[in-house]
Amino acid sequence: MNVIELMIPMALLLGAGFVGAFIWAAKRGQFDDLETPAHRMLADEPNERKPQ
Amino acid sequence: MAQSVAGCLQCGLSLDSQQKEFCCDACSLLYKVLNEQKEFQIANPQIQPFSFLDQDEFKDLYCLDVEQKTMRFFAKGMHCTSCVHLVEKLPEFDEGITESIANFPNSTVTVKINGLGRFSRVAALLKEIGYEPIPIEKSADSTNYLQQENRKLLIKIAVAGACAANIMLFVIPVYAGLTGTYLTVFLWLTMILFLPILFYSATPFYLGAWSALKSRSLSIDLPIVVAMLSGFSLSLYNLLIGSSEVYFDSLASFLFLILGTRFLLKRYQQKHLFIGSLGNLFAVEKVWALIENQWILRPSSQIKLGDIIKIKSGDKLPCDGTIATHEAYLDLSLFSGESLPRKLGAGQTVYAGSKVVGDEAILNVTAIGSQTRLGSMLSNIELMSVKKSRLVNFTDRASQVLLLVVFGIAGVFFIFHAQTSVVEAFNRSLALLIVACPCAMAFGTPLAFGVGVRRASEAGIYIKNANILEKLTQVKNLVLDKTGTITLGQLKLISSVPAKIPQETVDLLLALEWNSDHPIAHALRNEWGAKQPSLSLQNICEISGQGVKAVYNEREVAFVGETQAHAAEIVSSLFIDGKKILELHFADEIRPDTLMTVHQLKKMGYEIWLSSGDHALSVKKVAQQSGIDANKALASQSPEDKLQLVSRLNPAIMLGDGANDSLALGQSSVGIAVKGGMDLSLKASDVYFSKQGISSLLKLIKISHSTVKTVKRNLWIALVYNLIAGVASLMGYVDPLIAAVLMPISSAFIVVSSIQGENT
Repeated sequence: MNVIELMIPMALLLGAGFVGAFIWAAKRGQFDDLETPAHRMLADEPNERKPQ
Repeated sequence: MAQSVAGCLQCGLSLDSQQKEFCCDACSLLYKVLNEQKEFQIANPQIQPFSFLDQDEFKDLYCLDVEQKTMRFFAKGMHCTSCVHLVEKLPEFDEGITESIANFPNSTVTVKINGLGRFSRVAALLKEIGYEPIPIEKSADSTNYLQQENRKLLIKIAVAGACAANIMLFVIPVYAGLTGTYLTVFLWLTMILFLPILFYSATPFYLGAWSALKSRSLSIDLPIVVAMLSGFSLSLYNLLIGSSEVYFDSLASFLFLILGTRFLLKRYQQKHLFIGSLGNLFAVEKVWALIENQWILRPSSQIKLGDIIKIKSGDKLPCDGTIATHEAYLDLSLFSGESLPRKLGAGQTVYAGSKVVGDEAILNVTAIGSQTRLGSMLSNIELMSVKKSRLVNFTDRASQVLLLVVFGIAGVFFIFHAQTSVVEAFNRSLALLIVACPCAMAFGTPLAFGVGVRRASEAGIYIKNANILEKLTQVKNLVLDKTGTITLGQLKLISSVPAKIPQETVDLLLALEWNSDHPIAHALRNEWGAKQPSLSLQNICEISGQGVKAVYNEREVAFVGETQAHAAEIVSSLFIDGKKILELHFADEIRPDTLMTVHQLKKMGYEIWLSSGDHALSVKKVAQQSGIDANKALASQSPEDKLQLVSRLNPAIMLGDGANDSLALGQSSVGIAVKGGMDLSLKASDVYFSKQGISSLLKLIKISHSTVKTVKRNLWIALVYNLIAGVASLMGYVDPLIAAVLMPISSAFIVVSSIQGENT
């Protein structure tokens, strides 16, 4: 048995897995707004800031 | 760290000249909390102006969910990181708010409340932290629909991309010279991987081609579908008979590229349109109605014929009606283009969209919705835009010709060659169809237009319909509106007699006009500052339609305007004890950039017309100041006159800001709405300038020229490529290997050419 017979289905499954992950993410709105999260992470949380 | 650069201390955005340390209140508030270890302190907000949001009628209108717990607000003024941060902190300020999610590019906040929460408090809090909250009507909110559409398309692209990439992986060994059983297995694998594209990712093309066929026209989708289906069947046939001339790899990458470029163009257009229009489109639609002898706030859409409604000063009429009070002052500029408010008596008819100035007005409702004058204009405009979207432009025609030629040649070749060998003839004609790839039209053109739309939006020009980029290079007639478009649209103090005005008089005038909403009062405040003077005046009262009078230092002062309906200027005088001591002249001045723009446009060969609803004298003066020929400056134009002018000049570009321009904007080849305009002109237009004035037009023309140049260059590349490749494939020189190498190269060439554009 040639190793390629194992490799091909595995490669395809791996690819399908990633497509599935992308579809899941898109359906949950991960790609709806690509700008706001970038702003959100920039701001500091007042409570977490150490006293100077 | 020392702050040497002039930027906001909190978010780092550059500041304009009037700002000292922070770009907005949000930044200053956050900075204090972060650096001085303070708690957030929000003063008890004024709920009263928003209490209508808690009424059931308004909840029905605005709430996004069935439980009526979610509302989306347009937060006017959101512009930096701190804004996002602060707006999303709403749940910390009020235990009734459970969730607050900002959308920065759209400037919206979606707020969810629990049983304790009230929407009036949400709105009041937003107002308190510095944003003008405008609730967005459920039905007017296209965000959800667009979101669903975008998600679907994105998934289609992802599937197409993944399949195309895997197909590529499996054809590499085939091209490298694979033989035997594995060759068959790999080719079948590419076929199977192509199926999701054929049956799922390509569905938009089937729908597009079908709907075009139904309306008896050819769209770019049709050749894509034909090329794809015929390529698929040829490849499948070859696969079944054991030949290795299989084209699934080319077809897959081709479809992936088309889908991707279409998505990009769509995203650009959606994104910029949304910001450009939202603030204007979603005004709060509420009105006081007399119900059982009580004034109750109602959504405008629930007003019925015969209702009695009350409109406050500064608000717009939601419907047509007759005046029920003794008299009322209305700003009719929407229909007439006149810059001064007019006095109307009891029983006179006023139209939806006019603005009430001075005291509140009480009306009997005579027409609502589409029955109003505004409504009928709106339905006309919608008809026009449907007609407009059916027009075919040059690039579409060029692609159609190119496609017809390719199809024709393939068909003719098949008929002649079929006499020698049917199979060989079929093979070669289909090879031609696949090789003569319509990439230039299929994704080169949308990509080039997308780049044009993006460059325009960077300059503050929002394009609703990318086709106008092409029309702009052909049309040489230009019609301009006067008030608000080439002039400032507001009165400005231009001179006084005597020329020097003592400070005491300035304070006196400001105090007199302090509570007035009249254009002259605004002009005075713009000129002298909006600080309330500390003079004490007694018995301030309006002399209706003329001015105000009061008692100051036991002397009677009066500020009275002389109504000279046919003059280019407005003159107002200050009287003390009946003696005239000061005369002020006001006029609507032209914008500083108008003269230069008109001059350059003329040099470029544009015929410029001025069409205004204002009276002859001021139109003539403005035309003279801005360098427009006197015989092309038309005064006293009704919306219908403007429409006629545009259709007489056809094709013409129209620039305007008022609803009185909207019919003409809808009719024109390219309708451009200028900032400050109202929703109707926005709906009717193809382009929106977010900067005031007409100077953006020069930039837009430049962009459209470079875009069209790119598109034409793409078509030339495609033509040359198709000729060479087409002839070669008919002669039988193109085997799958060469086709597979040539296709991506030509596609890449077109993509680079489109993105690069003209570097101007």
